[in-house]
Amino acid sequence: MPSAEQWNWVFLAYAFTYVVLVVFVASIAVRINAARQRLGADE
Amino acid sequence: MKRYAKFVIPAALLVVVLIVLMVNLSSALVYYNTPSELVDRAGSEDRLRLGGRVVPGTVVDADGVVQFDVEDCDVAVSVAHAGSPPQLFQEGIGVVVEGTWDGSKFSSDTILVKHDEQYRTDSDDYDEATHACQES
Amino acid sequence: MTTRTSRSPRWPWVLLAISAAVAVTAAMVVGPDAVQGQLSRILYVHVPSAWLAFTAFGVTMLMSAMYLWKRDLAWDRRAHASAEIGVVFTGLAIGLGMIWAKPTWGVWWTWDARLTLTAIMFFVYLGYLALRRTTDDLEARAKRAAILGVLAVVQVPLVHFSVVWWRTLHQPPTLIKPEGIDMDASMFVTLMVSLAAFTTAYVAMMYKRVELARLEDELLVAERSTDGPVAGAAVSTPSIDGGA
Repeated sequence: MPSAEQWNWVFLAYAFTYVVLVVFVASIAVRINAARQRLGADE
Repeated sequence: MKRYAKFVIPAALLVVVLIVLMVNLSSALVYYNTPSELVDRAGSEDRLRLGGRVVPGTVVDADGVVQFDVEDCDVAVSVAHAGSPPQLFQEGIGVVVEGTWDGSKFSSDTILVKHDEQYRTDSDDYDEATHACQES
Repeated sequence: MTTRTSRSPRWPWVLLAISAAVAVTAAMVVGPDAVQGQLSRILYVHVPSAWLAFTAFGVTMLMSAMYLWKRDLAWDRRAHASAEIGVVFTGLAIGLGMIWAKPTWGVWWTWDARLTLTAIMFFVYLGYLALRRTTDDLEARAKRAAILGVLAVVQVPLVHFSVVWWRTLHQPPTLIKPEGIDMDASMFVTLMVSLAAFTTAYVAMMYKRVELARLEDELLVAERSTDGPVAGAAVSTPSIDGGA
């Protein structure tokens, strides 16, 4: 396999890692904000 | 005491289930068979998975069929694979081929590369001795 | 009622940004494997993902055991947080494994013992997260989850040693094995740097996810007190044990 093609797989793997982790952290942040808002509304 | 029992009973059950699973499934969990195990089954119609090392110097690629020998520590089996192998395929690497016996040859339609656990930046540093053939 | 839950610290994210930058740089400049070529760079994300999944489920087991011992919901929240992060790392390890398998083995997926058991582990821990949704009773939920959290950890050694115990397509371990490390020193150092970055990510996510778990528990308690028959008559704010 040519080196350039191998690098494409490597970039795919690192991009996948980045996207999965960032989306997960964002989902925590979104849920935290939603919970804080609802707690505030309960007062 | 009751709280203790509630915990121990499911735990014991799970252990029993796991032991039964491991004993019964250990044959099903074998992904492939070695050349030594499969030479006795030559002539059988079963679809089999054969795994071993591609013997250096035996690879012939012609007319869409790749021919090579697959060996373990004892015997080598001639394989004819219809189609093109994965790009990592090369002499001396591990492979698992799927197919059936065709006389004394193994006729394969699916081939997977099984690379080993060694990582070296220089190919001269590979330990050929421990990986020349696969035990078990 | 004011929100007592404090915000999680910022320092793990700063540390993560630095360690991730170092790890990615190292993984891009280290020499490629002689057989696999550039594809060997996937190792530095696939292996730490799998290890952090194992670590996360190990932490879930410890925190679950602590809950069963102390009956303090703070332990339950830590077990929950670690399990959810573990599921993400397991999914990541499976996805990266597929991206690595296609160009090396020649297939995205095959049902060998390692891959099959990893898939089962993924679904068992999804089951753990689903089990937590079966009741709003905090104590009952914590107890059920803790029992599963302790039992499910047996899958971690099962997945790790599957490549030793059974004949699989996946190669045996490179590092955690009796014969020692089967890897060049430069690659080993790169893997350790990457492992440090992934561990930092786990720690940072744990702080954040535990903060969320505290808020969600507070919310459940708050909703229970307003929905209940004593709505508006509550003298004291219902509290959650061990809020910190």
